Amino acid sequence: MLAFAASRSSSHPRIADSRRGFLLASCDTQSGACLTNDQLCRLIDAVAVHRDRQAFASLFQYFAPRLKSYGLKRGVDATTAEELVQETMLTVWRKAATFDAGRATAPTWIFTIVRNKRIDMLRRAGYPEVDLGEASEIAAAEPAADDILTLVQAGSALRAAMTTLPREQLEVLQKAYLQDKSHRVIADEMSLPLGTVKSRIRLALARLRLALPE
Amino acid sequence: MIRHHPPLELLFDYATGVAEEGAALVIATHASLCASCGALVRTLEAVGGEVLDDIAPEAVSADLLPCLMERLNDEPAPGNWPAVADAETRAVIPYPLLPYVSTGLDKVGWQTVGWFHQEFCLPLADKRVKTCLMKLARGSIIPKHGHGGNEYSVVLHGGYRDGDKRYFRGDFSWKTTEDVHQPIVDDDGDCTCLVVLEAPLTLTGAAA
Repeated sequence: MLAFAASRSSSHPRIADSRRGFLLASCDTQSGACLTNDQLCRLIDAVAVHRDRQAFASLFQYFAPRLKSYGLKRGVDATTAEELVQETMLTVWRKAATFDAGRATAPTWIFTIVRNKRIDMLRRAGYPEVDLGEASEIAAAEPAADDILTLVQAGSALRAAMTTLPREQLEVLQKAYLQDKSHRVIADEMSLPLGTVKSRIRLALARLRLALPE
Repeated sequence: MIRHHPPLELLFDYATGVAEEGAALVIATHASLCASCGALVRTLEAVGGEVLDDIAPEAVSADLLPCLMERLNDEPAPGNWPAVADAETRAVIPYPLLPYVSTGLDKVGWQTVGWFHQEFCLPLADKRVKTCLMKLARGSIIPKHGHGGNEYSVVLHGGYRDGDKRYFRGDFSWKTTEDVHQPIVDDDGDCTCLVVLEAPLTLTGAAA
């Protein structure tokens, strides 16, 4: 884990540099750092169905360092960031059965959990979730194989599209996701007019949408 | 067919997690009713998933995993999802709002505000804004008013018209301090909306 953390620069990693997993065979398997979405989904399933602690530990190895980094970037101290990791992973344990691989990739699901948990912890207020698969009816709603394929395609398309974004668009986009800052603050920090920040985000999102199948 | 949607910025603020509680609730409610905004939110969240996946990891304390595994021992076995409200409530209330009306829509504490207007304020943590369900009687004409701050709303049941625009279930409306309007509820039934008011309304005169 440490070796992997050290191998990354602390500046913004370019997405193209870090496309592990899907293609790269040579990575540190000890750290669980190079699991594919398929593998991650199977681990979540094992937690959901068998309450599999080993699978849970593997998910922890993969996500905990990322979640801690997310917390730190969003401005909480190290202790709070680790609390955020714990709360997020506990939610993964509790809600594994609601994860729907036909609707989201594993990192996307975990992103929504950590986003919501951080807000819970900071504001002592819940963050409403968009119709997460009508939780009560989820058992009946097995996604069709076609849907899963589409999602996988959409996921790869999105990743591919992100690697082609101009650096300045990607940078603004990452800032928006990783920092609890309004567009105005991002603009001030980057010494850019507010309109430029907004238009970069718009352009980036338009480009990403184009890459996705309808 | 939903015709009125939130602007991309609001969906983006929701997905990145910077939307305030009330605004987030309206966005989540709309996106749960609107297939295209729902898909857009999923896409924006998928971007978040990619950003999270690509983040430079930070090593966590060595005792974090053992400590968490210990906590799993105290976790109850996952039970069934609690039964939520009645079918009628489920038909009107989208998923993000259900926690607030789990007793059923007819049993929440509706308060009569005027001749044509009942409301139920949702117990959000953020007390700076007023977030409520409003039930407006059929055919009622809301007095012409302006807004002291942003007003976000989503129709849950019934419909109304506002100038030359018509709003039905799922339609989203965003009014700012610039806007003065006078919605008129459709004649064919009551209209229930989720409304978030960042500041009180300002009456601009008698209904014209």
